[in-house]
Amino acid sequence: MMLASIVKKAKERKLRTAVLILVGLLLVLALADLLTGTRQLSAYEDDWNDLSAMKNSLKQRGYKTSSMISTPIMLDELSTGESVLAVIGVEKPYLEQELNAILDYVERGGYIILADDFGYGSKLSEKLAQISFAGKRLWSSAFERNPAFVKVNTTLDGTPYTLLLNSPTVLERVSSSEVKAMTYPDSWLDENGNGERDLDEESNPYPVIATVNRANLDGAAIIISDPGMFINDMWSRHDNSKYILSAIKKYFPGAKEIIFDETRHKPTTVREGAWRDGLFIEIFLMDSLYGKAGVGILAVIALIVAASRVRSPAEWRHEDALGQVSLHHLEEPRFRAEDRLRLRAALLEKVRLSLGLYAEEFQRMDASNIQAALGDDKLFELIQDPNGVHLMDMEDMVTRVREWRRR
Amino acid sequence: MWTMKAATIVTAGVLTALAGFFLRDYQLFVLGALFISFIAVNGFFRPKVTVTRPIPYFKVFEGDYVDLYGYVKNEGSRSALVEVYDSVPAQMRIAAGANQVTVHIAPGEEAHMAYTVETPLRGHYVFGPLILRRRDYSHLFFDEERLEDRGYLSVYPRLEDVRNVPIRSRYLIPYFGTIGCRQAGLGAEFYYIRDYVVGDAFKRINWKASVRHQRWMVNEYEKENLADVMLFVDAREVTGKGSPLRNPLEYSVKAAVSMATFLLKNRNQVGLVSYNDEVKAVFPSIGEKQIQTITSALVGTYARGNVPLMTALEMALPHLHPHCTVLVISSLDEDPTLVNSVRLMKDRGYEVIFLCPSLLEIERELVEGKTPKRAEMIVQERDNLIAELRAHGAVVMDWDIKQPLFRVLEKAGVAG
Repeated sequence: MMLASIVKKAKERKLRTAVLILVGLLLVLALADLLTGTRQLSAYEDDWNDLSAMKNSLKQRGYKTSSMISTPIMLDELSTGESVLAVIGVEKPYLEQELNAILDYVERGGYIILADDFGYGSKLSEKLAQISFAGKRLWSSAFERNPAFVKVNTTLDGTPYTLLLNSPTVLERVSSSEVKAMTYPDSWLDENGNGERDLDEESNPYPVIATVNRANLDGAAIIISDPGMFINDMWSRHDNSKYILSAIKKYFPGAKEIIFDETRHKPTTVREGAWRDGLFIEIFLMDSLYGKAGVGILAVIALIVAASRVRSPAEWRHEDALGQVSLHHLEEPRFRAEDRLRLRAALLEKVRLSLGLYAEEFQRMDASNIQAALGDDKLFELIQDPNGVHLMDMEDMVTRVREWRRR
Repeated sequence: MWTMKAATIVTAGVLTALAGFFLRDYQLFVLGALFISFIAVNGFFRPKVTVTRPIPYFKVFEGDYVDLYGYVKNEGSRSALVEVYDSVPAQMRIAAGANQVTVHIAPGEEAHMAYTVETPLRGHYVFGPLILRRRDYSHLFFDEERLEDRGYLSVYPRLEDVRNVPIRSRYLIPYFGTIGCRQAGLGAEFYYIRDYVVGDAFKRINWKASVRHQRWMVNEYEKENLADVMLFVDAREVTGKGSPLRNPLEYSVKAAVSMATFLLKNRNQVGLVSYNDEVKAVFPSIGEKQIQTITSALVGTYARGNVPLMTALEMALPHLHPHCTVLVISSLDEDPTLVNSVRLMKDRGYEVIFLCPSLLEIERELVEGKTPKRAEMIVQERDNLIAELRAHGAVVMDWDIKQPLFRVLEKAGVAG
């Protein structure tokens, strides 16, 4: 009974129910997104896999830190040459407009640190320098305590650094001049992902860090095949922090602000997610002419729909139907083609009745007898050839039929 | 429901809020939100109102006036601005007052509406639903509620003046009535003059005739008896043509009710068969109750369907008394079975009388201006049909509706 009444109410309030269902669906999706997957790599969280240690180190070095939480499209508002976009882990793919905005930012002199392993970073790195992330796990005999922690040696301005990577991958299609750090020669890629070393998985030194500073780019980029080395738990191990801070200083001269790209990470709360999505929609829509036009068109459509649903209260007035007239015989006042046959039939019937004959008897009468009985050649013409009577003559013919035998 | 005013305000609110959002101007955003909040607050409260409208009568006659009252009570704790509309059947006119009211009622108070309806057309009618329209004081929203408070009213046709029904009793039963039966006997109607025979009462001697013939002559009177009459009322769709007040069916119903009442009051047996999209029958009977039964049946007869007379006749034949009189009230339009029906009835020995309100004459009355010549052709067809029916032994009364019914019945003389 209760369910039936709910269904009945829902049917009565279709629009409200539809809105409720839509809101409910969005809520479920948001919650599902929030409750599944791990949240990591945030510069504002203090968990072992977040980036607060890196952010604090940068602050201590005098860098201003901030976060980008909506979309990289807004990079066009930034002054280049002083800011570094830190993209640490790409958990969500970029839109084409976003990729173009980042490329445009770097072309205009912006700096970027891109660190990814098994995410969606390749599209961005390919856009910047045709470099891509292999997306396969790198193993090495040079590890510390846990095979996941791969050691890499490198130098910067003649200073040797030992880096400790956390489950990294490697970079592909990197020119030798761009490589800044290679793994030990006894390293291999787990091509089939079985976690074991197979015979066809050869040992090689692989590039894990590269810099991009090409003629077409006024800015510069550091691409690292492991975002794990930036997390709180790894930041202070070996020379991870020293190397990164030195690299920023060397490759990004004049940089004063580090902007963490939070847009590629999962939000930590529903509110944060909603706020981020709202900002994303706002910037995405208002950044392009198409977006603005789309919003305008949608607003107009919404107005039209709203206007169509609005109705002024009907004016109540009793109107009786007593004056309505519906005609049958006089509906068609003029003669029609088929009236010739009707009139002929009426005339024949009149003749038959006046002669007092049954229908069968009358049918047996020949034409001359009927003509004699009629005594009117015009009427006989109507009987002989009704279709020969012109519609203009029908009035006269009807008069003749009516007056026949009255005279 | 939203009014245009509310839609305009909410649209302005949404657009302002959106503009504020996109331009990052929070003052603009708050202004838009204020517009929307205004709408939301206004639409929140709905007054609680009850409405009743009792119908004071169950039955009235055509042309009567019925006074109706509706009571609107505010049972909520806030004052209410409401409109109430009572749905009146389209076959009635509002003679005085209005069937709607717009009132402001304080909590616990009651307002009323009063109006009078004229009932010019017979039928069973339903009043309602009452429609209640609540408004907020800013006239931003309204919602309508249909209160299924139905009221029922039957409008009975007014009786036409009937002084005589042109029928003859066809079989003898040992009861005195008012219907002549073509036999000499006790009665009021003069039948013929015959020679005096021993035993005749002196008061029956026709003195003038006796002097003229130089022998004793006496008056003989027609025996008056009871009759069985079965009324067939044609209620096919075509009989509803014309106007709601002036169409063959309305004239047929009035004539049927009037004649049935006349016959039943004179202790005759009367039954009724009406045919439209179905065949309905009231079996022959006598008395006041039968008047009510037949009248009720005819009040609820509407023009629809196209069941021909022959079908109705075939269904009714097993229930017709032998030698009864069949009185068919039909406009004779669009029924190809009429002649065969008459043949069948005559073969069975029934007396057949047709009373035919003319649809063409009704239409001529309704259409202003000169009647088109084409109508003459239709008149000829009708004349032929009437002649054919007469040729088969039926008495046909062609009823030009400009004439009152009793004149038509008088003109027909005596059938049988």
